[in-house]
Amino acid sequence: MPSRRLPSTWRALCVALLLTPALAAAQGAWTRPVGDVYAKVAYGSATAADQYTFDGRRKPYADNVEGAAFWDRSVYMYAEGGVAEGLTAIAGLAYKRVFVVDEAFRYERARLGDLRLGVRYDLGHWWVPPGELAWAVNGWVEAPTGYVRNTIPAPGAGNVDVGLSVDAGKGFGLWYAQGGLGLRIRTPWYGLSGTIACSPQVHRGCVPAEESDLGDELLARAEVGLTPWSWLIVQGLVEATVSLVEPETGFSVSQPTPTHRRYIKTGGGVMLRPWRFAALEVQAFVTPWGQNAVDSVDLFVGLSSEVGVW
Amino acid sequence: MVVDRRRFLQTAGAGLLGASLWRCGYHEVIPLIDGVEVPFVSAIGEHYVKNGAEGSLRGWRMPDLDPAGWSLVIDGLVERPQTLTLADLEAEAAANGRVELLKTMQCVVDSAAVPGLVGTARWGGVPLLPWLERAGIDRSRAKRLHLFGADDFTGNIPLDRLDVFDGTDGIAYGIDGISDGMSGGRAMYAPLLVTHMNGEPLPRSHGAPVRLVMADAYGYANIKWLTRITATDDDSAFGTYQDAGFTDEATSPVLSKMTAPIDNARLPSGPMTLHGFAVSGAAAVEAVEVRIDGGEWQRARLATRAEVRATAPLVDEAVQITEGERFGWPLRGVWAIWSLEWDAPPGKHLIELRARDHAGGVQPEIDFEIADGVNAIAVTRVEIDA
Repeated sequence: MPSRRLPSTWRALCVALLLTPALAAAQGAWTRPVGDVYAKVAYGSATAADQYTFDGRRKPYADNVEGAAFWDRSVYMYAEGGVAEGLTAIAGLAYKRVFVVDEAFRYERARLGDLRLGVRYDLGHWWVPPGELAWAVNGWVEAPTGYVRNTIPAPGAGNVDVGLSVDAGKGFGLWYAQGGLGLRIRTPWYGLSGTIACSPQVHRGCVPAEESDLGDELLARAEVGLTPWSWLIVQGLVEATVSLVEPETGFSVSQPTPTHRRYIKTGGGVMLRPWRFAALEVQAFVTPWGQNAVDSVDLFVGLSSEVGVW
Repeated sequence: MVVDRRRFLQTAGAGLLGASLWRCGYHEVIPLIDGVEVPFVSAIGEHYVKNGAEGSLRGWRMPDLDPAGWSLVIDGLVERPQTLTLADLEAEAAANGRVELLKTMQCVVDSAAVPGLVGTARWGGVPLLPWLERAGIDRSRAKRLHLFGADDFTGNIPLDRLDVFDGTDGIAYGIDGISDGMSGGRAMYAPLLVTHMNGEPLPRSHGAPVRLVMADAYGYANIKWLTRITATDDDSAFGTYQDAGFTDEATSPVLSKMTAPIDNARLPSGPMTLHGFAVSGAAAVEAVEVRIDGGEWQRARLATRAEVRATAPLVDEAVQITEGERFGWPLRGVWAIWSLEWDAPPGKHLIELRARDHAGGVQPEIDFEIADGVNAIAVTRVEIDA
């Protein structure tokens, strides 16, 4: 079988950027060698003064609040490892810290968010497409870790998501490119998150508990990368999340979970990798378009390591 | 299986980290202010703005209407469809006087979860009713008026809500002359075509050049940028917010709030004044009561008309003041400012607040239904330092 693998540094960055918490899913075209483990801890900062309304208009995130009104300062842990030839196991966990303000109050919530477990299978074991593209299928489940979902803000939507994507990639000398298409099924199963009784007049910092139909989402992404030197990778990425259900109503500080969301995020990253076992990764993203989405600027700083465990 | 020391420590460390993260969650609601002392009349720039269509109508933009080009069409089940201009309304105001009406505007979603969507202004305009009569509205067939804003926001008025005048000198302004021992608290104005706010031309964000004002109703019944009124025999609910599930009637039930201290505030011990407001669209507020830490309900003091006039001169020109004998005090549809002195001891305290109105309305203990607004007994938690 011809080699379709990218240099490990590229793969590491691909994974790192795909893990970027603001992005939709851990997709990727390349699997890991058996026993090879990549792990990353990242600090994510997302800040927004505006939101995109259900029909794509930009408006303040919170009514009558000038400037930033939404802050996400979370820690993301991620690991993936080759468990068999052409099969990579994936796990991710977020410690969410989200702050929002309205005219009179600041609402803070910190809690373990959603746990993601998934696999990536190298479809090249089954069939090698023309041009010797690498391609793989990614499947994952993302589930709440028991948090209360009707607080303002909440660590997550509270339901279980199931995702599937197909990704393809190819290297071109110092360059590489990869992209993928996927579907996230936002199941109506809320059993792994809790609620608290909440009357809007009596209780502050919560919303009435609902089990919203969040709407399944199409996921699309593309990225290009350049490795001018072995210790440096520069990358650009664009990703789209498109709810299959037309957004009809918006969200607010008091109704903080966007139900049917659509947005594009685009940005770039730099990875400094002086040693194979340690790298510093910095990524930044903006949200140039959205419907029912936070118009945030996202910055992530992470430390990653790639080691052979067995 | 042999586990080396390093791997054991790594595993144990990861486990401890995970356990720590699991435990270190929190949820806090932190007040950014200690409280707000509510002015009886909200300044134009401080009066809340909520555009009902903004969150529900695709492509919404705030209308920017040229007053000179503005017109209001009155059509449907009328004998003589009318197209009114701002000059027509100004001529009416010049001939019969502009009605200056105090009204507390309250968004139906205003609540502890969505605070601040309430304010009081002096709204100036001319009554709608004479224009309907001039158009020859077919009262035998028409059931409702459908209202249309330039931003495509819609609403309606059942015809029987126009008939609050007593057929005497109140006709011109649609005054309800009822004074039946309830402190005149039921006195009311029929809908106004409003061109002024606090004596100034109506600002764009409040619906310039003309909006409707319904004295007893939530904000969504007060259509901004009004451009068309159609009389119809369709007696079903109609309107943007009605489509969203809010009550068709839109009359605001009795509600009270404490604006100082604010929920979760941390304050020094000692004497302090609790204060806030209460309002009802159904009738004048009769009483506001406060209960601290589950004790007895204590009656709060309501600001008198003289006190309000002393602090808010803008009210002097309001019809509820100039014709005070008709309206009594407090006023229906206008907030009553309340206060209660409290010698706050150290500790955590729970303060409950309830109001009742002259129509028998009382705040419920629990209100999970937001379709008609949320007006459950208000709860405020404060922490008093030693």
